[in-house]
Amino acid sequence: MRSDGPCPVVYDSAEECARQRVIISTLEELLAIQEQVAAKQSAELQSTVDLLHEMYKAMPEALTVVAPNGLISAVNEATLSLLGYKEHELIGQPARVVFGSADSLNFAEVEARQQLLRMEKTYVSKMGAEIPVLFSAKMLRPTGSRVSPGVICIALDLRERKKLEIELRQAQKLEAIGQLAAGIAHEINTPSQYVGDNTAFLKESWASLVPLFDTMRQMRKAAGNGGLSQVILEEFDRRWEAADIEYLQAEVPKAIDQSLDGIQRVTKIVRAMKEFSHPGSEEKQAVDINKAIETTVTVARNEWKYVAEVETLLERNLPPVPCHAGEFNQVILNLLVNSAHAIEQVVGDGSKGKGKITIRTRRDGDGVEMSISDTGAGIPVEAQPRMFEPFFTTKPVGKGTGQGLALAHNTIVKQHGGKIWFETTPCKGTTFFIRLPLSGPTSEASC
Amino acid sequence: MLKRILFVDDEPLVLKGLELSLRSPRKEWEMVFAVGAQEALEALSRADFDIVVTDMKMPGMDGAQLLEEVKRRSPKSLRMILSGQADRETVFRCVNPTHQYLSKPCDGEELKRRLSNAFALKDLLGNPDLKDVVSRLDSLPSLPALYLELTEELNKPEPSLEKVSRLVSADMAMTAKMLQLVNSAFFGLRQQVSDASQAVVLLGLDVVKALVLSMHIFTEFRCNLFSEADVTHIWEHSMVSARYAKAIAIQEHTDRRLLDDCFTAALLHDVGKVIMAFALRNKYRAVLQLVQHEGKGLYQAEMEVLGCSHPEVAAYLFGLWNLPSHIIEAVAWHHAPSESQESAFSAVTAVHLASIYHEEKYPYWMKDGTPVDSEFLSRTGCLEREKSWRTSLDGEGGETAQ
Repeated sequence: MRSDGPCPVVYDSAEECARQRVIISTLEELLAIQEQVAAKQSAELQSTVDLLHEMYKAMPEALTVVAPNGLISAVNEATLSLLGYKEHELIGQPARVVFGSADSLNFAEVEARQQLLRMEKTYVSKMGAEIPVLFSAKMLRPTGSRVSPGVICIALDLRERKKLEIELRQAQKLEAIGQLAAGIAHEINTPSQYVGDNTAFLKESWASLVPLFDTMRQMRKAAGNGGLSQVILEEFDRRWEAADIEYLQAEVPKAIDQSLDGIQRVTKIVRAMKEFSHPGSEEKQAVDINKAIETTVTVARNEWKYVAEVETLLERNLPPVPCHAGEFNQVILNLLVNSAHAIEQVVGDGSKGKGKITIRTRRDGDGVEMSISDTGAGIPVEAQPRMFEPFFTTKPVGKGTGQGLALAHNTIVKQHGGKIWFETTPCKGTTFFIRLPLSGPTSEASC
Repeated sequence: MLKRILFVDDEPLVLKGLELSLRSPRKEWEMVFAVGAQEALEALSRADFDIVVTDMKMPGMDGAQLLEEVKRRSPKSLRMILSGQADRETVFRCVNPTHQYLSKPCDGEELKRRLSNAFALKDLLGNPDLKDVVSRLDSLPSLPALYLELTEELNKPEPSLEKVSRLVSADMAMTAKMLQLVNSAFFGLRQQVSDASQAVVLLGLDVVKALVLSMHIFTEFRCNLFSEADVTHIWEHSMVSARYAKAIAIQEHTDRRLLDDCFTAALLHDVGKVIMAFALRNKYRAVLQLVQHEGKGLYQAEMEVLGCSHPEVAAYLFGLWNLPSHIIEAVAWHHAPSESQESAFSAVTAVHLASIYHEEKYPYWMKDGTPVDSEFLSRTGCLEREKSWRTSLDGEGGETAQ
C-alpha cells in the first residue's frame, strides 16, 4: 500500500480537488457560450452568461484569470477580499503581483500539462502578507475557440486550516509526551530503587569495617612492641566475624557494579529524553537517522518492553539526512508504539512469550530507507486504505486518537518530501517503510 | 518463629538491592525473593508469608492480579505494592487488593519501618479468625442513606465538591478509605492527611468519582443483626462523638492537625463494631444478646465471647491500611486510655471522653458502658478541665447528627 500521492492533510483534499475541477470546466463552458453570444446576439444566451457571472462573483474561492501576455485579466470578489485590492488595482497588472515575484506562473508548464495543475502555494496580499492557499490552474480552451483567453487560477484560503494543523500536531506531541512521561518515570525509578538500596548496603558494610580497622591498628602497634596479646586477637576475631567479611567480599564488588550500571541506565534515558524532545528549530538539520532511532527506542522502552523485543539492524555510515529532528522522532515513536500495540493484540500481557519489532535502515540511491516490522496482528483489509486518514483508528477508545499516522504522513511527505507506505499480512505482522530524500525536498504535492 | 516476607519484582537487580539493604534484620526476618509473579505463586504454594511486597508492572501477571491471588490463598498476609509506576490507571487497578502502597525509589529505612510496624500489628489482634476477616476487607460498609446520596451526587454532570466532602466526612467507612488512599505513596503527597474533606479535595472529584462509581471502593451496610434504629444509632454515635471531640479540641486551642485527628479518630472509633457485625454475623449475635439481656457493656461482652474487642479490630485494620498513627492510637485506646503512652492532652483523651459523653446524654441499649478513666486524666493533666468540657457540651445537640 503506497501512499506518496494524494496527501491527506487535515481537510479532505479530494473533495476540494473535484470542486475546483467543476468550476474550471463550467468556466470553459461559459467562455464558449460567450463566443456564441457574440456571434448570435441571443437574448437567451445573454441571460445565461449573466447568471454565470453572478455565480463566479459570489463563489468563495479566489478566482483570477491571467491572459497569455502575463497580465491579470479578470478577478472575482473573493480574490479582492482575500488580498485587499480594489478591482481596478489588479486588472492589467502582471501576475507576479499576486503570486509573488519568485513564484510567478509558468505558462509553459501549465500549457504542457493537459490536466489541472494543483499545489499548495502562497499568494501575496496588498499589504505584502503571504497567504497559504490551495491552488489550481488550467489553460482555458473553450470549445470551438482556437485562441486561449489565458490561464484560470483558483485559490482556497488555507490559513485557518494551517492553524488547525499546527494545533493538532502540537496536541499530538503533548499527548505523546504525556504518555511517555509515566513510562520514563518508571524507567528511572527502578534503577533509583536498587542504586539506593545498594548504597545503603555499602554504608552499612563500611560501618562494620571501621571497628576492624581500629583493631588492626592496635595489632600493628602491639606487634611493634613485641607482643600480641590474646585479648587483641580475640577482639580481632570477634570484629572480623561481625563484619561478615566473606559475604562482603562476595557482594560489595557486585553491589558497586550494579549501582554504576543503574546510574548508567538513568543517564542513558535522561540523555535520550533530551535528544528526543529536541527543542524544535524551524530549519532542517542534518540528522543521524540511526541515532534518532536509538534515542526513540530508549525513551519508549516502557511502552514496548513488556510485549516485545526490539532489534535494530542499522546500516553503518548512513549519510545524515536533512530533517526536522523533533518531528521525525515523533514519527518513529508513533510507529514504534503502533507496533507494540499490534503485538499486544497477539501476545496479550506477554506471559506466553513476547513478539518482535525489527527496525532497519539502509541507503537507497539518493535517499535513506527505514523500515519497522512487527509480529503483530496485521492490518485488516478494510482498514488498509484508511490508515493515513486523520481521526481513523483501529485502537480501542483511550488508546489512540487516530492522529499518529496522519501526522506521520504529513511529516514525511509534506515536510520532508519523502514517502511512507506499509505492507501487511493478517496474523503475521506489518512493516512500515519510510523513505527520506538526501537532497532538499520539493514542497509540491500534486493531485 | 521467623517473620516471613516475600518480595516480587521482574527486575532481579531490584530484588538484589532489597536483599542487601535489608540485611541487618536477617536474623528475625526470613526473606524470599521471587522474579515475577510465576515464581511468587510457586513460593506461596510452598509456604505462607506474613507480608507480600510486589512490583506493580510485570510481564504476565501484574502486581494487582498477584495480590488478588495472595488475598484468596493466604488472606492474613499483609499486601504491599512497591512500584515505580505513576499513572492513575495503575493506581486504580490496585486500590482493592492492596493494603499499603510504597513508591520507588523507597528508602530502605522507610521500608524497614513499614515492615516492622506491620509485624507489630500482627501481635495486636489475638483472634486469628478475625485477622483473616479483617485482612480480606477491601472496604468498609457505609451507611446506606449516605452511600446512596454520594453516588447520586457523583452521577450528576457537575457534582459539588462541597457536598461530596460533606457526605464522605459524615461516614466512618468512606472517611477511612479516603484517608488510606490519600496517604498512600501513589498519590505522591508528602504530608499526612487526617481530614476526610481535605482528602477529597486533594484527590480531586475525577478520582473520587472513578473510585466510587467504577472501582466500587464503598459498599452499603447490610446486616440483619441490627434494626434500622440500631444502624442509625451507630452512625449517630460516631458523628456526634466526632463533633464532641472536635469541640473539646477547640477548647484546648490545639493546632489544626490535632483538631483533625480528634474529629476523625472519634468518627472512626467504633468502626470495629461494624466490621465485627458485618464479618462474624452469628457469633456477634451472641455478643449483642449478652448486651441486650444481661445489660453488659459491648466492650466487655465482646471480650467474653470473642476474646478481642472492637477497638483492636479497627486499629488492626487501620494499621494494615497505614492510616496516620495518632488516629490508630486514639481508636485503639478509647476504652483503655491508660494503656497508651500519652502524657498530655491528645486525640486519645478527646475520643475517650467524647464517646462516653454521648452515651451518657443519649442512652441506648447498645452501649459500651466504660467509665471515665480519671487516673489517665490526672496523668495527662486533664482532670481539672474535664468538668468544664462536659458542661460546655451541654449545648451541643446530638439529635441532628444526620
